[in-house]
Amino acid sequence: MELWRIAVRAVVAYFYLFAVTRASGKSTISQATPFDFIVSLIIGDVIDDALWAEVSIAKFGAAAGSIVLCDLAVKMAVFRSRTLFRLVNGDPRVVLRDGAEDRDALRSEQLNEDDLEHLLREKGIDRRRWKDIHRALMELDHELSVIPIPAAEPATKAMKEQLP
Amino acid sequence: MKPLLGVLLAFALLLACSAVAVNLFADRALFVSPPDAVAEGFIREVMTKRWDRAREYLANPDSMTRAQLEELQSRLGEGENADAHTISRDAARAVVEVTVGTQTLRVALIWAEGWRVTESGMARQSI
Amino acid sequence: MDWQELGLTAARGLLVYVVMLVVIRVLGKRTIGNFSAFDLLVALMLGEVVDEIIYGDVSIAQGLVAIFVVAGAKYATAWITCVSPAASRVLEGKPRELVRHGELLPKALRAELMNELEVMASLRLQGISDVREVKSACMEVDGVVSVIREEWAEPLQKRDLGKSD
Repeated sequence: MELWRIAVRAVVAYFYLFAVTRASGKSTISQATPFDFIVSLIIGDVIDDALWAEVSIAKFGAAAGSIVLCDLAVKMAVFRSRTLFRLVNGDPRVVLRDGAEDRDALRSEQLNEDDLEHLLREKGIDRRRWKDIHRALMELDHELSVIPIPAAEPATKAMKEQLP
Repeated sequence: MKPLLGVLLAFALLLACSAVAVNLFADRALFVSPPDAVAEGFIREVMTKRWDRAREYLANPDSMTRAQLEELQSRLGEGENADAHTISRDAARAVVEVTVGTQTLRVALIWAEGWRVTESGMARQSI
Repeated sequence: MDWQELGLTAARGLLVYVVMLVVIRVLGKRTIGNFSAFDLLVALMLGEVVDEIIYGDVSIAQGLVAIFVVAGAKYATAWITCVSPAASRVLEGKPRELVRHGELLPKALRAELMNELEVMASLRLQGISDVREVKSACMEVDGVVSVIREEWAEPLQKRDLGKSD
């Protein structure tokens, strides 16, 4: 297969994907939830066969287009309905409450005790400091958000001014 | 609603480009699968003994009997890679050489809304 | 233009999207973000199988079986690592301490195939320019370097200014 054909197909595929993702609005390119990441993976895979002409450009267009359309339809439906949002994306979940871990919550988030320690260490919090945590939540994108107790919140310069 | 229409419009545009290329400019190798890719696909399906899928590559699905396909498969074996190379191509006909290990086959194809394998290619074989 | 083929491709795209939506929801949030090398591998595997289904290179039944087997195996390993921290250490690895009380640990660095420059870069990304501020820095299983600062290097908190609310 001549190289220039592969190059032209790559350009055509690129512009097509660019057009459909721009047309569908920015929300489709985000990676906020696990599912967005998988959709990006799928679209990337679908290009593969088009480059080597295992499928025609039209077929590739149908494949990539249908994925983007579905994603778009789901995003639009989820945008309108809070219930659908929670159904599709899940909820953030409290895993640590006032320094004590919530075993049931951990299990439903597929975390063991080591995992929680790792995630907190990545935030610079070791076990001695757990008592300073008011709440720790597992967010939708598997990031751990930590809310400290008021006394342990960062001090600001404004507060220093207020000292007697 | 606008985004949905936007995506559909992009798709329609792509189809239009494809249709123009194939019907107006006689594109046979860019927007569509070129003859070597089709021939390679056909040989690969035969080698992996997927007879029904191999038949889908034929211009006339009944042009090769099960026995003929099996005979071809036994000649080729299943371990090697198939490498295809276009010998000649015009708007309606193409000839492709497919190398499987030490064997070389000639496959003839015709254009019918996509390249399709005609039977006459199978008989000739050169080592 | 083979409309039937295009239509079938689009229909398979729809099917695959719905299936993946359900699978990802069931597998949970672990599928992305802060994942281990294995989690990424599973995501890639699922993506590859999906590709074949959309283009009709495999039958829908075969494709769905492949997806469910991979997803099922992932679910099983997630469950095992959740229930048994020992299994988790075997399957996913252990964090390894790289810096203790301001000192780099050469044996640990060698084991993680990191040189001093890389470690310092990771520390800088956390806003640390002086390695003496580090009480303990670990290479975690997902490739991130976690840093616990020495007491005296911690950012000021409200309580340090005598405030408690």
